[in-house]
Amino acid sequence: MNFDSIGFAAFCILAIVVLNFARSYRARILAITTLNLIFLGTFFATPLAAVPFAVFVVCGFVAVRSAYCVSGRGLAGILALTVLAFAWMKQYSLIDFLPSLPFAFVTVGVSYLFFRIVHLAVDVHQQAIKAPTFIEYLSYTLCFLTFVSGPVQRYGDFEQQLRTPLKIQTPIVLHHALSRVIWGFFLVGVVSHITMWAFSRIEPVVYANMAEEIVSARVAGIFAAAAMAFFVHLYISFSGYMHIVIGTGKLCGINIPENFSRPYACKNFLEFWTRWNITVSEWFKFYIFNPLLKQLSIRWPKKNKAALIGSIAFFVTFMLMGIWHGTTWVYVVYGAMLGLGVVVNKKYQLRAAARLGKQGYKDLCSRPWYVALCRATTLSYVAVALTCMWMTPSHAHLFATPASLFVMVAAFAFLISAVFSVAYFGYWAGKLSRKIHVPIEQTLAIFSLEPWLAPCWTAVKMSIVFVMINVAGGAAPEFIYKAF
Amino acid sequence: MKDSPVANANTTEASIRHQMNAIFQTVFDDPSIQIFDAMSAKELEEWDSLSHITLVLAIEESFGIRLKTAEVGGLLNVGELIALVAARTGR
Repeated sequence: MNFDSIGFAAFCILAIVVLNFARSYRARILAITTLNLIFLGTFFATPLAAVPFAVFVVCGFVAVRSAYCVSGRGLAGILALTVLAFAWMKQYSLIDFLPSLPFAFVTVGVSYLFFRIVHLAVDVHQQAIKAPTFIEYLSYTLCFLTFVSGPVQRYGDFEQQLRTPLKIQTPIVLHHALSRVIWGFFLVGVVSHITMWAFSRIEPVVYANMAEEIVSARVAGIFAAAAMAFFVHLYISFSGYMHIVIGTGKLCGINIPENFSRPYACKNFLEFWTRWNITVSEWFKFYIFNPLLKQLSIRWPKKNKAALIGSIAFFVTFMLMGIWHGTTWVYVVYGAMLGLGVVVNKKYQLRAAARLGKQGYKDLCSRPWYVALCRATTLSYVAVALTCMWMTPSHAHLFATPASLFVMVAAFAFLISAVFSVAYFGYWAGKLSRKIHVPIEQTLAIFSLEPWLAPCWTAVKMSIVFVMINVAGGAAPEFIYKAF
Repeated sequence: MKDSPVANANTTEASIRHQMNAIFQTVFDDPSIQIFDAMSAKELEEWDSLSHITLVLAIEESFGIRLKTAEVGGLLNVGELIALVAARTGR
């Protein structure tokens, strides 16, 4: 079921009604599990296509329950088997020597299911949470709101949402939740059409230039435009989806964690990951970076090794994050680019602080031109690294030639200067707009203070978005993160 | 005369706070640091993901406890850290 379909809208209305009527914890668990199974059922064309997925889910439950009573080594074994099962389900090229099934099966949502199973197994083993029952496990791991592409909510938070009795929705709360859903549909159904259209016009030109191994400023400019168009499209599509999910969750009485926090306002590459796909970044921090860095620090406790082991932990974490995104060697390159970016960023920060002194570096970081430069470098680097996601497998070889690499480096430089100009101009424009923003906000506040106006305004926005989606041409472009 | 439970709780929290302050000063190599409950990475710029683990290891060693994965990742400020150590040490 696509989340931009009429079927999904009808399903959401059903879920909102059912979950608002189910008052007790037991009733809500039963209701959400039933809704999950209905939602899940729409992804499988035949019962056979669902068998591997069902086996993975059941094995995940066995892993979680077993984690409670095994030793540390036992847990490591459970996690290794879970990783292997996940890699086999996703058909990673690294393990293509393993036998596959003679029929097609569905893997939608498996990547996020994997995150939840590992989180449950580790936390149950350490007795940070109580082992869930099978129905609690199904209600959490298959939650229809977050099933396809996250966010990755922690089990404790999810359980709390279901245990806390739902409060009666006020018109203002309803208005805010509906506004988020409408805004999400606007981004996915209208804006992402435009960004996808722009990207699809540039992409073939990039391939043609790469095939002819042309190196020129024009080619670098076209590549830069394609990279940035894809980045913007990814952000619009992914954040739009999150608005729909979070808004629907609120209407169901479930608070879903935020997954984006204005990533375009990042101050550096490290900070970018606290703003982009936040819950997945946190999962990697909790279950890869922290334990790895802790173990390395215990093994090599000398202070002069701290920077080195920090770099190793960062690189491994971001490399795994990259590999998680896809099954081919291209994603190893993507992971290596992320790892390299974060290591260089950290090294630079340490050296700059050592050279300029704490106060000197702090002063530098507060200068508008420097903030704009760091922001431009980060966003440009991410845009170029994301090439790994949009290049088709049949065109991947075109990006491995010296001419292509030169074009990409030139495009990176081109993007930095372009984004820097926008960011620096944006800083001064923002400063100016704050002066005129207050009277505008005061005027708008007159409307927002009237509760009876909220539903009217929501209805107007819904109508506008409905018309715009139909004008834009119906179904939204395929949601990219659904593939992970 | 016996101390009241409230007075005991205040004393133990004060001792944890005192010990914690010394750990922060050592880890961040700054004897002027004075911790407070709301203190987080925002107030202490050197408190990044690398120094967080150094801090966790120093706390584990100093208080003789082992923090769980979820606890290590979920700590947001000094107040939470002190409450966690108090709960784990049973002070």
